[in-house]
Amino acid sequence: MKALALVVLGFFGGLAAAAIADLAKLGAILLGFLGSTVAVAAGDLISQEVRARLDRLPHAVLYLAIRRLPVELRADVGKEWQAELDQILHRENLYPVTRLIMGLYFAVDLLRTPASMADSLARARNHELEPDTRSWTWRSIWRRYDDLITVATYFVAFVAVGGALGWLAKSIGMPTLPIVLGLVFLMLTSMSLAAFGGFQYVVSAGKPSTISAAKTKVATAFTGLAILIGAAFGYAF
Amino acid sequence: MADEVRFTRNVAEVLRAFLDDVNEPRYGFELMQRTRLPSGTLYPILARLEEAGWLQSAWEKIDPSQAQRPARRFYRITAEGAQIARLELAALSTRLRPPTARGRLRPEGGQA
Repeated sequence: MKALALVVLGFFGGLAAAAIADLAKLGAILLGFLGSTVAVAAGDLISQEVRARLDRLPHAVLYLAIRRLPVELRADVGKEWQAELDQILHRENLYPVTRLIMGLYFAVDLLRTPASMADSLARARNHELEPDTRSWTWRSIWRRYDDLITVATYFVAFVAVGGALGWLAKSIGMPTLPIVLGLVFLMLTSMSLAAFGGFQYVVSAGKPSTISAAKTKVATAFTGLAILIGAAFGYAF
Repeated sequence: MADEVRFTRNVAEVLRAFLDDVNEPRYGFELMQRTRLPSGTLYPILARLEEAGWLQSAWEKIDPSQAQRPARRFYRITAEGAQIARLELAALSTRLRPPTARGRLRPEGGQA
């Protein structure tokens, strides 16, 4: 309180001194003061807005994960996951950014739950799922070919990344760049995937029991290949 | 149904967490912390174990407005699950036990 009083006193003292010295300077000081006050208030509002939106991000991702489940299971499993996310986001012994990252990690990882989980849950909790064979709905396609779709999606994504790199190389006139970048990406992805086991997700589509070291190596090579193919296309066109 | 569960390392980690206290209900996030498994790996395992009858799940009986948080689903290991888990963990432990003196490395030309 004392510090605040001193600051206010100093400010008005400064104003008085400036007023005596030059009226134009007084105007400039007042404008500066008003400007900084507005900037601080706006910054605070923007920070609150960003914070509120970031807080909703894990819930938004979780919503997508829940949408991947069959309709019959969404209410039950969704309620369970929401409760767990709520607990993560309201942990008192963690800082906000850490909580946000943990919440996002929880929600994003649930995006890769396999279709077989829904079948297991339906059988365990006596939910009747719509039969897969009835029609070619998106859900039935996903439930049959989730592994294939996941791998294909990653392949397309990596080809697109490679394509962008190839195009970039062409634009800056460095013909060897796509190959170099492709190889660098191959090396980097291999290293990162080996470190974090991330590519296990692609291979197994969430079925850790089916993962083997050989499959992981094949998948890593596949990533590099996809990038190189994309790079070649990007450079050619 | 129970024989459909493949006893992988991750499954072993989850069951090990339950065997610490078979009467203690466990929640998803708590299990994630104990097993260090991510959510996308843990929940499919819980579903398979529940389907096999090794785990049972139920909603927590709380008043959300009083507790100021939503009710969570808790999992508990069944008697059958605990019995199979103990046997499987013991078998896994035997398989992973370091080799006996006969299989140890020894200096070239040396005798064990």
